[in-house]
Amino acid sequence: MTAKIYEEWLSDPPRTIVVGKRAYASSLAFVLGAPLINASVLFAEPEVSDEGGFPLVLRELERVVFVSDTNETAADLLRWHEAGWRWIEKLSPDGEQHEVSILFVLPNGGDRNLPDALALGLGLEKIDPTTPGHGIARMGDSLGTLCATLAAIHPSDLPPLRARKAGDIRHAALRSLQNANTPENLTAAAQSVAECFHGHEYHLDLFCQQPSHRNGNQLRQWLREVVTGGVAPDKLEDIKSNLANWLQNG
Amino acid sequence: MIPLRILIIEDDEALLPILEEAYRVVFECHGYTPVIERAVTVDEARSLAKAGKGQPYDFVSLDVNLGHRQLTGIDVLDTLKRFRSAWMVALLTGVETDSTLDKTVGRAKGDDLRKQLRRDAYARFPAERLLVVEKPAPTTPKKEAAVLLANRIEQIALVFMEVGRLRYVFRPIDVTSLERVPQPKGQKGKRTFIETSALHWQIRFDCGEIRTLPNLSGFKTLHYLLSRDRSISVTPEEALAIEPKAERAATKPKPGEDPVATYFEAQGIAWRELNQAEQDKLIRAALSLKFNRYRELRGFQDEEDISTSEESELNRILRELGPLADAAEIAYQRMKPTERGDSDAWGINPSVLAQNDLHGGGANYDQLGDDRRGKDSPAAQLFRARMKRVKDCLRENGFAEMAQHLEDYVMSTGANWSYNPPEGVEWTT
Repeated sequence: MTAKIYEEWLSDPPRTIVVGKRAYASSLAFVLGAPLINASVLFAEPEVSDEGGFPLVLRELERVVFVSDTNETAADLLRWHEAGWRWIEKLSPDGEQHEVSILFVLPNGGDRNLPDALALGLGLEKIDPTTPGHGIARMGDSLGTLCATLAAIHPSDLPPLRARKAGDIRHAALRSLQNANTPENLTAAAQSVAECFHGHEYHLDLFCQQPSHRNGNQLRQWLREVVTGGVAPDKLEDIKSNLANWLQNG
Repeated sequence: MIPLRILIIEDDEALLPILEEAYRVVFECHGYTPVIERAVTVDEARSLAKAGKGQPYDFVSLDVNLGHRQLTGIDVLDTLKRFRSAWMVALLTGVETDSTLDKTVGRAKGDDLRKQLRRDAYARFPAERLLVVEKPAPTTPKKEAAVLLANRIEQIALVFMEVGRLRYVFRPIDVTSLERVPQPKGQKGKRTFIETSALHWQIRFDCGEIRTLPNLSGFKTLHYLLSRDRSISVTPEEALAIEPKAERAATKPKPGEDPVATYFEAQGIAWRELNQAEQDKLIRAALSLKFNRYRELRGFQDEEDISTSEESELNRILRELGPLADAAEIAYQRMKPTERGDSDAWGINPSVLAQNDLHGGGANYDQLGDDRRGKDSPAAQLFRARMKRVKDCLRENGFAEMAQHLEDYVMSTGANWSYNPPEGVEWTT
């Protein structure tokens, strides 16, 4: 499935993009003078130009604002984030090395663990004003505060993010689980994952494919069984197939 | 003295000044005036690499281990490649000489790590411009380490100078050759030769880029270069810097102004400074780039056998030709098999516009008679095939005269190309 590049981007490449659906996102886009796009657009591949290749319409992009105005989960927002980077990689001449500032605007109230979950998904300890590349604001913040938060985010590109995730102990434990090929390795990897997420098992949703909560539940149940009962050799292939269905790649 | 921009990326603050001094001394000895910048962290190095876009460093000395938890010199290499901000990189690694590595992980694993490092490095940067260099082992005494480092840097400088000659898209070179002194008629004697020197120009470009770039920017660059003073060397970055200005400078002709002059001047070519012959060459070159396809599509159109997409392509070519569209149509009409006319307003006569003449093809040694086939060595056959591909590409993209020049050069070497193709010809792909 492909998404058409906005005509106006060809002549006037955006510096800021707002991703969201409803009134708040729409109003924010208007105030910032930025185009508003629905997240579903990002999930599609950008359309190739007539001459072949992608038009480099995001060459001037400096900021992306993800607005969670329909109570998205952390897993949803991280998927938006990943999809947004896929577009930047294709539509910017700098590719993965294009530096942007990314702001997540979260609903007032709601899940108070959302910021921590986002940080975990991004391989960060937390997201605060000193965090490179990312920031968090609330819908209840004044416009001035929101703009100041956005302006204060030091832009970052993708390699440090990937390196952080590669080095994060929880990401590494899940990779070991996906790569394990023997019952013994699988059992050990499952125990390692259980230890890493002890007390925060719900965070496993962040690493699951959609529907992330349902797949997360199945993964949690399987981990409980394996940690106590181990992996039977004749079940290895089935388990690997299930893991591939539950967990995101990479 | 030739200016040289160097970037040294090294997190060891004790080693950094040693490296800086060593590079300065070595390059100054070889006639360069080095201007050296430093970076001690990965973030600083990547920032400088991004800032170097369009103004690349001539040489970067890059340490692999930069003390960052997650990123290494390999990631910096990625950035240097992405932003084209380094011509040559010397990757300094201690993995090769670190004996503790083998003790820690075992010899086999150590070898794997060393090979992996090289694979990772060469996957990220053009191999001909990347050196993986061993640092002296940590256990080497200081004085000995300094001498080893100096020797390695000397070798790096020599490689830099050797590879550096590949850098220029366009540069003048002095060619010294031996010319035979003609003897008076009837007089026999020992042949004598005299050394002669002539200024030639070396043009080095990727033929594939001319055809594959959507906007044919490589073609425009070469057009521009051919119209410039040939005593000036031009690096690829300088050549590429021409393009955006040429694109943005597109103007419409004012009433009474020559549209052809406006067309070429909009592409950065000083049309009015050229003489008539040079102007004619440029017109023919600009036409022949698109002319083959234009001719084909006009043929379909005349036969009423043109599809919608072909018609769109024809209209696009007409738009791109701009004021040269009339000349293209005249040329097409003259080249139709049953219709030949007199020369047109551009002074282009039918004999010039005939297919081979438009391409400027002359003697073509790569087309042999059947009686010659099978008598050439494999090397000669390969040489001939490569030459044909290069010349076809040049002709198709409007550089017929350059193709002929290449042909003439090969013939002038006097080598018996059937058996011994000329040596010293560089093939780059």
